[in-house]
Amino acid sequence: MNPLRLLYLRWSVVLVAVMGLAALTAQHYRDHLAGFVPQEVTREAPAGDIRVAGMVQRGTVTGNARAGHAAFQLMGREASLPVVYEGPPQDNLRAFKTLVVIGAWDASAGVFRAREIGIVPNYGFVAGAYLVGLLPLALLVFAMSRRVNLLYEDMKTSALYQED
Amino acid sequence: MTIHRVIRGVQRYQGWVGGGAALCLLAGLYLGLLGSPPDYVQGEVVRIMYIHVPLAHTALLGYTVLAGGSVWYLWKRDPVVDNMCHAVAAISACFTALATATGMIWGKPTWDAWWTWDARLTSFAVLLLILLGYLMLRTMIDDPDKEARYAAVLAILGFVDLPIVHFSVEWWRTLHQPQSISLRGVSIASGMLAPLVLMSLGMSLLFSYMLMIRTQLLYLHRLLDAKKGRLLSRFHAPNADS
Amino acid sequence: MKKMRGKKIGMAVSILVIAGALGWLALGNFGDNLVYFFTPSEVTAFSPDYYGKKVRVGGMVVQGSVRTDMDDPGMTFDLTDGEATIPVTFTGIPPDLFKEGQGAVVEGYWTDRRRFHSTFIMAKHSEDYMPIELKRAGVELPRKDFMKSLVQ
Repeated sequence: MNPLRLLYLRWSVVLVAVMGLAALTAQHYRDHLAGFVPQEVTREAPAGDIRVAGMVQRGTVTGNARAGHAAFQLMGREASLPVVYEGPPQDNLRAFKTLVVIGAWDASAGVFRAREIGIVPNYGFVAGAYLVGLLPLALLVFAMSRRVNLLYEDMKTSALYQED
Repeated sequence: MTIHRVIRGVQRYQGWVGGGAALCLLAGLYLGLLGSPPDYVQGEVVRIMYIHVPLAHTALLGYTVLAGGSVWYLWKRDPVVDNMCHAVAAISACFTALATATGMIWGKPTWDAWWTWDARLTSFAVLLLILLGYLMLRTMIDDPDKEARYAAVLAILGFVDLPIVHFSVEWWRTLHQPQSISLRGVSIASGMLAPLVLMSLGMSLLFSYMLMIRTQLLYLHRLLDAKKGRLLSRFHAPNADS
Repeated sequence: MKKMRGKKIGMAVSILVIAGALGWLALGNFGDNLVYFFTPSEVTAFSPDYYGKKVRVGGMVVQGSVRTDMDDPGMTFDLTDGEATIPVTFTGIPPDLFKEGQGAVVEGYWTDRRRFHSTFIMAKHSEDYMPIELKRAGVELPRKDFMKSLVQ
C-alpha cells in the first residue's frame, strides 16, 4: 500500500478510538453535571431528584455535618436556597465552599432536602487539560509523519536524490 | 554507509514504537478518565495528574537525551547525532510548554492560582527558556559546524537546571507538592497509579516515535540541501569537483 | 554582507534576551523564591521592619479554628507549623481545597497587634492520592511529614 495512505488509515483508526472514548466519557459523566442553580429551584420548583450547585453562605451552617445532619443556605447569584441535609457523615461542608447538593425540593416546607453533598467536579478544567495536553502533540506528530513520508516519496521520484 | 543502515533500522521499528505509544495512551486515557476513582482531597480534578505528570516527566527525559546527545556530538562529531539533538530540542520544548500549560490548568482549581513563582515552577520555566534559547541559537548561526558546537555547549550548560527542577520540591519551600514517587515510597493508591504509569509509558514511547520521525526529517532536509548545493556547484563550476 | 550583519545583530540580541532572562531569574527572583513563604514561627519572631510588609506564610489550618460567625465579613482561623500558631483574618473567598487540617499559603501582612491580615489564600495539598473509601478506612500512604516540608 502507498505509505501515505497507510499513514492516513492508521491515524483514522486512532481518531475513531479517541472519539469513541470521548463519547463514552461524556456519557459516563453526563449524570454528574449539576442541573440547577439556587434561584431556579425557588422560582421553578422542579419536581423529583435534582442536583443544585452553589456556595455555602457564611454564618448559616448549623448542625453537625460530620454526624450526618446539617442545615445551611446555598447561595446563588440572585437568591439563596435553604438546605436541610440528612445523610452519610460529610466533612466538606464549610462556609464559602462551592458544593453540589443532591435531593428534592420540598415546596410545602420551603426547604431543599438533600441526601447527599458532593464537591463541584470542575470537569471543565479536566477536559481543558486533556485537550491542551494532547491536541497539539497529535497535530505535531501527524504533520511530521506526513512530511517525512512526502519527502521519501519525493526522493524516490526525483533525480535530486539519486545516489552519486 | 552506516547511517543508511541506522535509518533503515529506525524505519523498521518506528511503527512498533508509534503503535505502542497509541495503545498505552489510549489504555491510560480510558483508566484515567473512566477507570479510576476521584481523589479524597481534590475530587475529579485529580485526573489532570494523568496528563500533566507524564508530560513533565517526558520533558525532563527529553532534556536528558539532549544533554547526552550533545556530549556524544562533541566527542564523535557525528552530524546525525547533531540532527538528533536539534530534533530532540524542539520536541522537548513542546513537552515542556504543554506540561506548563496543563500544570496551570491544574493549579487554578486546586491552589486557586494559575501561576506562582515558587522554586518548582520557576526552574521549570527556566528549562523552557533554555530550550527556546537553544532553538533560537541554532537559527542564528550560518556555519553548520559552529552551530552544532555552540548549541551542544549551551545544552550541556543548561543541564544544571535539571536536578534543580527535580529536587526543588524537596530542597526548598514550595507551593507545589513534594514527589509522590520517591525514596519514601509510593504515595499514590494502586487504582490511580495504573493510569499514571500507562500514560507515562505512552508519553515516553510517543517521545521516542517523534524523535525518530523528526531526526529523519532534519536528516532528509540536510541531505536535500547538500545535494542541491552539489548540483548547483556542478552547473557553475564544473571543474571544481574533479 | 548586509544579511550577515543583520543575523549577527539578531544573534547578539537573542543571546542578550535569554541571558538577561536567565540572569534575572537566577539572581533576583529565584533567590527570593527559595524562601517562597515564611513559617508561623518565623512570623512570630518578625522584627518591626516586617510589620505591614506583604509576605507569604505557609502552614496548616488548625482543626476547629475556622470561624465565620463574626459581624464583619470574612473569616478567621489559626495557621500552625507545629511550633508556633498565628491568628489570621481573611477577607474574600478561600480556595475550594481550603480546609481545616489542610495546608495553606496565605498572602498578606503581619501587624504589631500580632495578627495576620490576608486577602489571598492558596491551598497547598500533600503528595498522597487515594480514593475517599481508602481514606475513610484509615489507610495512610507514605509521604513527607507536612510540618517538615514547611520548615526545610
